[in-house]
Amino acid sequence: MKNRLKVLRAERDWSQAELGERLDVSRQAINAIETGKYDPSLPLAFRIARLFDMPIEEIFDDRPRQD
Amino acid sequence: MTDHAKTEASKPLSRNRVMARSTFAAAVIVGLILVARALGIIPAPQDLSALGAIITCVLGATGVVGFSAWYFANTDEHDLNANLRSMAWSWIAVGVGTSCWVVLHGAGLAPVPDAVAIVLGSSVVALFAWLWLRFR
Repeated sequence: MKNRLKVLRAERDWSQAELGERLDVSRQAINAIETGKYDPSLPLAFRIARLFDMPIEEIFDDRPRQD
Repeated sequence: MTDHAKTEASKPLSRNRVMARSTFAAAVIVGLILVARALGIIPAPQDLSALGAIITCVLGATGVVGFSAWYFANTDEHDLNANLRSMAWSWIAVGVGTSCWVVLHGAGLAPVPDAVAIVLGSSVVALFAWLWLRFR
């Protein structure tokens, strides 16, 4: 699943570790989500959306890649 | 988009996750000692009394089961997913490894299947699967 987590994180100048601390998950979890290797659960997706104050669908996109 | 996220203060790792990390590190050390014992690198105690053996088993089993339940309840979902999938691969390794070993033994190509070797082998599979899923 595609997501804008890396962009949103960069806009706030947060490291993966910092974002992980804010969400109470490991840095590796953030890296896996950003690179699309792991899709977060619904509760974690809601926490991410709440942290960035955005709707989930503006952060995550489950449509298949066009490339 | 508001700047709500920008102003939210960074908070330290939760106490449970810090404890989980520390306890996990301790468990790895204990696991390495057990593997070393199983491989004969560290000799197992031979002169343990019956009561000592029972107490050791009860404390060890209770500790491992209790810690595992607590760890799984407190670790993050990415690590939990890695644990679940690595355990699945470990169990597959037990099934495949045992089947192959029994067949090869039947054909006279391998010694009698060794349960300890199979468990150690499946543990190695679990370890590598966990490392791959957790840190790739």
